[in-house]
Amino acid sequence: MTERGDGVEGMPDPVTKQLTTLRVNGETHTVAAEPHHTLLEVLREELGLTGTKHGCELGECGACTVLVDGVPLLSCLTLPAQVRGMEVTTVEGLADGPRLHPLQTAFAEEGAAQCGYCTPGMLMAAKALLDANPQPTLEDMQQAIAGNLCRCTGYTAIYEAIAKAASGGGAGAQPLRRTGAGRASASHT
Amino acid sequence: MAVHVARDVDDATRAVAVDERAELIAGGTDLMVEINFGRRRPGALVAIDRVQELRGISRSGRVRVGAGVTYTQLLADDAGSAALREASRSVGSPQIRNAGTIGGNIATSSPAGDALPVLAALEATIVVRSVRGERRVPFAEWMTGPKRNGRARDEIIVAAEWESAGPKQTFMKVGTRNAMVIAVASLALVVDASRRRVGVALGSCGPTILRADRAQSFAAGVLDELGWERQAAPTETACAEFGALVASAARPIDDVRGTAAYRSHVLSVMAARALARVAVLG
Amino acid sequence: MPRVVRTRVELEGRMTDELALVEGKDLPGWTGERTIVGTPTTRIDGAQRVTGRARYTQDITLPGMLHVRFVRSQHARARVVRVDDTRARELRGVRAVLHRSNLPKAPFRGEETIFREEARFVGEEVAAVCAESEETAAAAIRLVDVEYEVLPHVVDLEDAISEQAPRLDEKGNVSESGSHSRGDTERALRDADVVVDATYRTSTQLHNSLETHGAVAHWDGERLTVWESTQHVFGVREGLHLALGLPYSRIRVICEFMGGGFGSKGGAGKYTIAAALFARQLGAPVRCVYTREEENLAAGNRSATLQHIRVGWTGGRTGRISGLEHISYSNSGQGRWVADPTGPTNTLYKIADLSTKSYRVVTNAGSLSAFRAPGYVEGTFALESALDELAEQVRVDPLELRRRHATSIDPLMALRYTQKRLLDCYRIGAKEIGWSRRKRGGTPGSAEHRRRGMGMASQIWFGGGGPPAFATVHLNPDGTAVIRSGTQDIGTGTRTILAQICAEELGIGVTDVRVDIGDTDAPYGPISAGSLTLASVGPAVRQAAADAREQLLGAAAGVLEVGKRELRVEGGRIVGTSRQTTIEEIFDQLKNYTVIGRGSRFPNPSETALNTFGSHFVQLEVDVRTGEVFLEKIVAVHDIGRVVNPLTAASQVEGGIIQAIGFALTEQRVLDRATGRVLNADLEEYKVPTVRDVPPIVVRFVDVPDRRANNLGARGLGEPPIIPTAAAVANAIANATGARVRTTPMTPDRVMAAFAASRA
Repeated sequence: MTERGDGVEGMPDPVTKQLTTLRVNGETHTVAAEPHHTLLEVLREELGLTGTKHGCELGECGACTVLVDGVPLLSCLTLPAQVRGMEVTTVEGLADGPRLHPLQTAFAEEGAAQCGYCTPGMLMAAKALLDANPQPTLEDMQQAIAGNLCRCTGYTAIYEAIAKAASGGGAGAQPLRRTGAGRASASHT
Repeated sequence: MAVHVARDVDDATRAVAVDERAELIAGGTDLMVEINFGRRRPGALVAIDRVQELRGISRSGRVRVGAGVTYTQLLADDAGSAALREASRSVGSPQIRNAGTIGGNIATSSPAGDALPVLAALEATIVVRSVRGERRVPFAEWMTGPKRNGRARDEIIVAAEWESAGPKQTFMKVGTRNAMVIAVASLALVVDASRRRVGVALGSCGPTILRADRAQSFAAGVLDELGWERQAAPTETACAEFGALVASAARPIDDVRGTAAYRSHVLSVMAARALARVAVLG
Repeated sequence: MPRVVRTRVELEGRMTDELALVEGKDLPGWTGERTIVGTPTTRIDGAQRVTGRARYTQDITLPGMLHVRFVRSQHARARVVRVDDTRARELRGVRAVLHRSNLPKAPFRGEETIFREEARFVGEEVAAVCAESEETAAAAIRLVDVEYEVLPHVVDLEDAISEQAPRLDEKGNVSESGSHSRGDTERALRDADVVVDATYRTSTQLHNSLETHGAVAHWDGERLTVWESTQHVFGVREGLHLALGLPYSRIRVICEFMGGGFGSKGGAGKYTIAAALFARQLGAPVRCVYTREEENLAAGNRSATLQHIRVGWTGGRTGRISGLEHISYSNSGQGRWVADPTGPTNTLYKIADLSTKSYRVVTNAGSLSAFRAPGYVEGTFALESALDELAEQVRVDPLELRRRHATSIDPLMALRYTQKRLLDCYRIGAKEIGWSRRKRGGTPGSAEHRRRGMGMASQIWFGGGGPPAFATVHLNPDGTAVIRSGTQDIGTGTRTILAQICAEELGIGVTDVRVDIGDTDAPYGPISAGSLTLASVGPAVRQAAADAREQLLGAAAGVLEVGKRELRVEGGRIVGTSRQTTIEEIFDQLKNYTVIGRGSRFPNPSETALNTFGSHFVQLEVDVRTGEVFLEKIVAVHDIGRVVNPLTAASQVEGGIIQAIGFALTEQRVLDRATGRVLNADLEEYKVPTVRDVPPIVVRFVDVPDRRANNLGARGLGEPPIIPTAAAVANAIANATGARVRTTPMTPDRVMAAFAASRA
């Protein structure tokens, strides 16, 4: 039997790029992009900001997390038109010039980045948490990164790093690892 | 594909009315997946996520939650339904809760939509509007099948409304992991003491959100005896029988998330626990 | 002078005799305290990973880059009669289409081309489209018309074993892939007082590295450069060499950063070959990166298994295991090998009468590819569950049962281990979890409907590494060093441990070492798999660093006019009996002096067995009404010889455990038997554990250098931590509730079914 491809001739639509103005990491960019292209695609392909990662294309892995006016959103499920006039922050905008954000320092020091692919998204979710809640509990931290999948680290080092960044990274940083960083009861029943 | 960012509801209703290829987008957590996978390529999009009018919660007597209210907002601003809060907390991830809206849940009408059993148990009314006017649809008549409902293409869901039902209510679900859980089975139980009414609704247990009428009557009988306003636990036997009646209302199937048999079983367990839990709330 | 030596090489349990090139004499093991090796050391490339600067294959964009998408079979088994690409080629932006009838010869994994005449699973590549944008390529694959002759198929392991199944292979669907026998197992089981006879099943686990498989190929008219997310740049080069017929000198493969592989990224894939073919044909850079769905259809998996175990016991509570039989079937899909689940059974315990058999079963499901401790995860689940079932029946403490069967000799090869400290692992783990509190039948949980239990399991794996592996260490005039080796850092921290080893041996600081790896223009490095990177490349780096140091000291001795023996390098300075100076000063005096130290990996000692050991202890609660399992604590203890970096080692263990938790509780590929389709080829329905699924994990190492193993005294750690967890979870569930779950993942419905069975 011959299986005719189910595509329609002429697809995709003749390319009609739309001009969109975006505020990303404090700078204004006007990009010409196809209007159905996601914020993720525009960040990576039009602006060359490849720190934000593709992971699943359906909003389940969190690798593409960016902040929109400080709120963590999935850039793979967001259209650039929806964030017009809002401030988008990506991992590239986290450091202050050469000075790393305390979260970045803590992630590097604690080994919270293993292969590092989930790290940018994880950092953005963590930043939103600490901006809203500078002294998060373990439960808060777990809530905040529950939508960011990591296949390498086992997560322990990640919330250890968040805790370290929260406490200023000094010697008083609460040692969570191996001392019973319990998971709150997640039973819904 | 053009994207029109609507200023207000009228703007949005007009925009969908004039362009019959236009589809609505709010949080995008469902529609964008379809677009990313090339399963849908709307000719035009009308974005309603910035329409302020859709983002309010009011509780003057009747509760009204705007369709554009996100799950994060439902957790921050009390909509007067403990069950809805519990359901909102269990939706996806923080990122999904920041984008996803209750209106989106209503529009997608997935049997696994977490807010839907709660709206069903609350006997909420869905308010939709188009250039042709406004319609109010009881939730019981809203869903017509899995991911199908009575919304016309040019209609915008503007709000869900219900009578405040008091503190005796809960939402429970079982999934296969502890976060980003899609329900294998879910259940909402609302005991409206002032109206002497029990609402039970099941998610992920049939083609639509199902109600358990016999279980509701049974629970009402139990509460008649215990006293509706009191905080008293029903007997274990009563809870178990309630659970069995709830399970008998399910029409589950075997699918990738779980088996029909397990769904029925776990529904009976959840229902028994739910009744025991809400009966002592006050 | 380099010389050739004969050596036995092991990769994931498969032994081959090979020739290895070595140079000079191997270094003796370190003695005394180390200041850098053994100290928790932050990743030297951490800053790149946390700033978004780390460049992954998916981030590579080259001017004029084209994009490839595959047409994939929607049939589990079908002959590709004809491919008509007319409509696709007419689409604006499409540059070329490759399929069976127009593809140049491109030998791949023993077949003539990358597009087979018979598509053998849903998702198998049938044609490839190259276009100016990914979107155009995606649209174009839907315009390729394929004529199929649909053939009968079978995807399920147990269906494929049955007589009624369509025969997929002339010799039948089932073939023996390995066996071992010692003593008289039949008699031993016949004479046993108690026999546990049980069947275990494990489900197909998908790797789901966060970065999907992919490659970017660039042909500059003379040379092919390929960036690939891979665990083996030299393996990719080999695959390209075979497929394209290009000499090695004209292929360069680069992998700077990669987002996880877990065994599945061991060499060139069809995407690599397709990208390279298009790049050469069109003279443009070409990118081919899998979508998440493609990843879950075509990038390989951990085989589902069906395992029967009979294990006998003689002699009451002071008795012993008398006879063990383990028969295993693996759903290899179209894979040509079997990840043997009987490996642990053959070697873990002192059992005189033992018989194991392993069978490969071909099906029309996606093929296996190595997945972190392939076979050992599956086999350990069955073996260690069965031993607990036996312990329960004969009323012997499960830990005591294992201690009683400890062996210091590899029972398969009858060779002494270089070092085995499994009993230490038991001791440390038992103390840490509080094993003495474990009660037969479990204890009450935190709520009325919950029960609490404890379980444990043992682990054996390889991880000794071996030749070939090479490295050079280049000294810069400012006293810093550069390591060059064709290994790669797949996320484990390879760059950092190599820098530590180099710094330790050379006498400079870790931050003064740069590590240039992930490039076939460097000296050969082996595949980063089988837990062998550290134990293979590390000793070569140490040797190269020592060589560089000796050259430097020789030069310094000449400049300072003292005997070389009086000098040493310490803290980045040349220290002598009477004076000290900086490395920089020596270089200043010598002007254009170059120091390149060379190192090679020497063979492992002969006539010894080289393995890693460990044990996991789990405490959990079970909701006895819903079947939900709540992990409370996991204790992992491993014997890997010397721990080079406790920080990266701990995260390796934690990461292995979380994948094990997925295997144990949530992860399974679901296939539709009727169509052969994967029903959960995405991260929504395929349940990878989230942060909320991970309990507190306590990581401990025995941390005693294995002086016989290699010049570092270190063994690998990549796979050990994923091996014993699932069995420990199953054993803890059984302890808590009396219900024995014999199938992974142990989902709530399976736990409930096990309850029902235990009550019956």
